[in-house]
Amino acid sequence: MKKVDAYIETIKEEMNCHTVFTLGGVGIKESVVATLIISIVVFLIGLIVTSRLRVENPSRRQLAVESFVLWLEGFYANTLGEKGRRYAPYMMTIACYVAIANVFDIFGMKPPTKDMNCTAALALMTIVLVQYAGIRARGVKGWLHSFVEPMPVMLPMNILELFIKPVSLCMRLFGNVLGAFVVMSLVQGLTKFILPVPFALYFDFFDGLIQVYVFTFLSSMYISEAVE
Amino acid sequence: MLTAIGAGIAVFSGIGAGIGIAGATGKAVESIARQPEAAGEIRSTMLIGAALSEATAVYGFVIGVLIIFFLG
Amino acid sequence: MLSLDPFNLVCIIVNLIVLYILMKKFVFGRVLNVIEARQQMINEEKAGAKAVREEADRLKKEYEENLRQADETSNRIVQEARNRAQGEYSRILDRAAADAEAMKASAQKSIAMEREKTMDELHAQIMDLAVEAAGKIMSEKAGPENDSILYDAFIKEAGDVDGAKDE
Repeated sequence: MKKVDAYIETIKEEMNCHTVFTLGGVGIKESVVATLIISIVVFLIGLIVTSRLRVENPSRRQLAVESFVLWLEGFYANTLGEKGRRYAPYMMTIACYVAIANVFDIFGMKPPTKDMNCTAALALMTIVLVQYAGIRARGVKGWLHSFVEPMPVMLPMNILELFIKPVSLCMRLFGNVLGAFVVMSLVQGLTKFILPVPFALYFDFFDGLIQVYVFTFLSSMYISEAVE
Repeated sequence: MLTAIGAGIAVFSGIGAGIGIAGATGKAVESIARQPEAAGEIRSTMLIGAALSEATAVYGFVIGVLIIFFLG
Repeated sequence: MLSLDPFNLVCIIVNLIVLYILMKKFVFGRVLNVIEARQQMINEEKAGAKAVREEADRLKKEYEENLRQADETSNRIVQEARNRAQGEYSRILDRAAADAEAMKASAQKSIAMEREKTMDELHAQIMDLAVEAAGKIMSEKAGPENDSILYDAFIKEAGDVDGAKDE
C-alpha cells in the first residue's frame, strides 16, 4: 500500500506546475519557461530552414519548406475565407507552437499546455483576435449588431458565447493534454521500457496533433464567422 | 472515499462523449461510403464533431481532477 | 496547474505575440515572398515565351506568304511563257499553212497557165494544119478520094500532135 501511495504522490507531483524562479516577488511557472524555450526553438528552426532561400534553383530543403508552408497557409486560408486570409500567419504560428508544446512530453519535459495559464492565454488571444477581426471587418456598429443576429432574442446567448468559446477552447486543449499527460505518467510510473512507446504514439502524437488541428480550426472558424 | 466516488461519477461524462463520437464516426463512414469523393471534407467535419463531443468527456475529467485535488 | 496566475498568463501572451511577429516577419513572410517572387518570375517568363512564340508565328506566316507569292509568280511566268509559245506555234503553223496554200495556188495557177499555153499552141498547130490541109486541098484537085485521103492525113497528123503532147 505504501508503494501505491508513493506512486500516487509522484504522479500528483508530476501534475503540479512548479514555480521555477521568482521575479520581483512573482513566481514564474514552468509553463512560461517552456513557452519561452518552445518559442526560441520554433523561431530558430524557422530561421534555419528558411535561410538562403532562392527564387531560382531552389534546394530540396527549400522545396519541402515551401510546400509545407503553402499547405499550412492554404489550409488556414481556406478555413478563414477570403476576408480572414490575413490572419493565416497567426494561426500558423499558434499551430507550430501548440504542436511542439503538445508533443513536448516525449522530450522528457512537461508540456506547457498542461498548465491552464498557457491554454487560457491562447484562448484569450484567440477571442480577442476574433473580436478585433469582427470590428475591423464590419466596423464597431456592425460588430455590435452581430450580437443581435439572427434575432434580438439571441442577445444573451451571443454574449454568453463570448465567454463559452474561449473557455471551451481553453478547457478542451488543457483537459486533453493533461489527460494524456496523466496517462503517460501512469504508464511511465509502471515501466520506462518499450511499453510507453505505443501509448506515447497515441496520446502524445495522435491526440496532441488532433488537438492542434481542432484548436486552430475552431479559432479559424470563429474568425471567419466574425468577418463574414 | 466520497471524493473518489464523486470523481468517478464526474468521469461518467465520458459515456456521452463515447456515444457522440460513435455516432459521428458511424455517420461519417456512411457518408464516405456513399460519396467517396467527399472523403476529405467529411473527415475534417467529423474530426471537429468528435472533438466537440469529446470536450464533454474532458470537462468531466477536469472536474474529476478538480475534485481529487481540491476536495481530496 | 489549475490556478490562473495573471502574471504568468500575461507573460505567455507577450511571449506568443512576439513569437507571432517574428515568425510572420522572418519565417512565413520570407517563404511566401520567395514563392510569390517565383510565381511572378514564372509569369514573366511565360509572357516572354508567349511573345517569342508569337514572333515566330508571325515570321512563319510571313515566310509562307512569301513562298506562296513566289510560287504564284513562277506559275504566272510559266503560264505566260506557255501562252507565248502556244501563240508562236500557232502563228508559225498558220504561216506554214498559208505558205503551202499559196505555193499550191501558184503551182495550180502555173499548171493552168501551162495547159492553156499548150492548148493555145495546139489550137495554133491545128489551125496551121487546117490551113495547110485547106491549102493542099485547094492546090490539088478536089475529089471524093482526095477528100478521104486528106481527112485521114489530117487525122493522122492531129493524132501525132496529140500523141506527142500526151507523151
